[in-house]
Amino acid sequence: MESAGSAGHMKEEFISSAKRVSDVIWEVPKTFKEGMQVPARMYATEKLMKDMDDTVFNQLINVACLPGIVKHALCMPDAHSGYGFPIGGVAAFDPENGGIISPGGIGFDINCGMRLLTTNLTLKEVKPKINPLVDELFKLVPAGVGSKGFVKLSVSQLQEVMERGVDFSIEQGYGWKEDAKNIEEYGCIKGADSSKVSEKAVQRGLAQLGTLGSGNHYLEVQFATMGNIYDKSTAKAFGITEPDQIVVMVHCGSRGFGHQIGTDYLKIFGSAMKKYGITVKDPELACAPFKSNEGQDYFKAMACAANLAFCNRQVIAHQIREAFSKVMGRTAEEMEMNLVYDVAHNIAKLEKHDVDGENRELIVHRKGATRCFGPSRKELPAHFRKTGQPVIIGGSMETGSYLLAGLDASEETWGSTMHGSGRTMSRTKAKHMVRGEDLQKELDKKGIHVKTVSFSGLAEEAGFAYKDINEVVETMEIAGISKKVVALKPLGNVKG
Amino acid sequence: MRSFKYPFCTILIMPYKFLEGITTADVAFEATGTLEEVFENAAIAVAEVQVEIKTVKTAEKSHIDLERDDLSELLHDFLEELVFIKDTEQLLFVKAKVKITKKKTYKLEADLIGDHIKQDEQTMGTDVKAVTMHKFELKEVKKGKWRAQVVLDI
Repeated sequence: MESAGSAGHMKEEFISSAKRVSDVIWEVPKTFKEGMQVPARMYATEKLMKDMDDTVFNQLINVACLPGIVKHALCMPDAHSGYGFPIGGVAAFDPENGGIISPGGIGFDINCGMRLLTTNLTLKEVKPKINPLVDELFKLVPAGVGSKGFVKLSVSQLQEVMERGVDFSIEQGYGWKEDAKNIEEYGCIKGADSSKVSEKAVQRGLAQLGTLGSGNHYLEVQFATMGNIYDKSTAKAFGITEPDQIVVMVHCGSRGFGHQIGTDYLKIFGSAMKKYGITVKDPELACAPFKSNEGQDYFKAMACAANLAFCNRQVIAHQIREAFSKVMGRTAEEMEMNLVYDVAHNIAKLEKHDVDGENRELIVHRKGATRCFGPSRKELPAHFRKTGQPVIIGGSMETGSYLLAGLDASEETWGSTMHGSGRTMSRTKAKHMVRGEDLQKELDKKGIHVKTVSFSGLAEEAGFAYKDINEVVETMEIAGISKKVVALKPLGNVKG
Repeated sequence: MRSFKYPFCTILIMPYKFLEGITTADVAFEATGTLEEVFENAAIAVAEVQVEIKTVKTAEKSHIDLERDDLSELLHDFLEELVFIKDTEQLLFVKAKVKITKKKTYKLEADLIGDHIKQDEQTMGTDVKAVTMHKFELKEVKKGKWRAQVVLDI
């Protein structure tokens, strides 16, 4: 299935053939392997490159072979092997030039993403109450296998969720009006059409709105020490002003709804490819021309899932505000629980970018990669036009997370940066190395209070299963794509 | 390597095992046996990822009928159906009896036994969100003996 080179050698071949565009950019030309339409670029330090999963290189080369790809196939430093595209893969396709759309370039969990809320509380106030706070969050935000959402929706309301995104949730009382302006695409990707979504996806979607999920999805109470603020004025613009200020981070997506859409369209594209004469090197790379009926149908269905995911995180944010109110005895408004930003990291978007001096509309795929627009992008609301877009990078439960800002030079990656620290170890192996119960105790000693539905699931998410987030974040800073604003440390964590 | 004996399986080899080195972020397993046992064992492996089997009561029954042109597709869609039932009816199955007949197409009839998901009573694992086609395989390795390899999206 991995066509380009046999497993185990691709990385060596890639490294020995790569030109060092800079300290952190490794590029192989399109002559590297047969079928490549464009060169392939990897963003990584020497250390991250050395530890990179071999499959990533095969998958990146396969992406470079896809029809209509523009300029480069790109890979972020947190990359690991995925289905079709690597996780951490970024590619733009030109719809006017046979460019494709591929579910394998987006991921099954459409609009899996991050959300960050501030508070005006400090570590000193929250630490003594972290146990009841985590308990309350655990109670109000259903998580784990088989959890059901508390939002009861009719089929027609679900259609509104799909087509109108967060505006609908806010109208229903979940959240504040001003939340919408702090969400990528204002919480609604245009062009969503619920008639392109299968009955099965609808059935899965009905039960799950407002649930966190499981796997690497989590909700975390964090704090920002003054020493961890790298850029004071940007931090202030993003709402982080006090020493040891408490913030809340959420990582989740479109749940079974998005997965069903991915599964449905992978099948449709599998047969559509024959019609369009497209061959790919991995069934998970199934794709269709963006302008074809199948491509358009998928884009409209994908937008539905993206909008549902924005709503999901919106509804969860509402529950977080409720939980804090109950435990801290103040209203969410009094605690200034404002939304810093909500950003997708599994998505395809129609965006205008510069291609050799020409402004072109491209279909940009980000799979395990985050949009990081710089200050000059007019898509950003006025209050981010000086700072650049907030970028939320989730680390492991142990190592902490980052809030970054996008830079204008990110145009070279189609305005994209990494999404997390990136796994290096399989779930099965991680479970052999530590018991979830022991890990919970260990974390507790470090002052991180974790509550989980699944202890085996907790073990799978142990810090040692991930890359060094500092090194990953640093890579994109050296590349001039995104810059550090604040490093956030965990205090309490809810896991599915 | 973890392995679990499925109590209703008559063969002595491991009916399924989880694999390392296939996927970093998700879960891979192989299931072996006769063609029908491979389907049954794969169904139990999908449940095992999500819950400790022995903590699930055999309280609920269900049935799946499927028809496909191709055996691989039949296995893939059968497992997908289990994920769908888990998300819509909150049911996990810990026993499976599968019958496959071939006429023009392959026809599957599966009887399933398990229980509703009860997080307080069962030992939960990690949610399975999709059955991928990544390195998906169903092969007759020698006469009457089959092997499937499946990667689940977590």
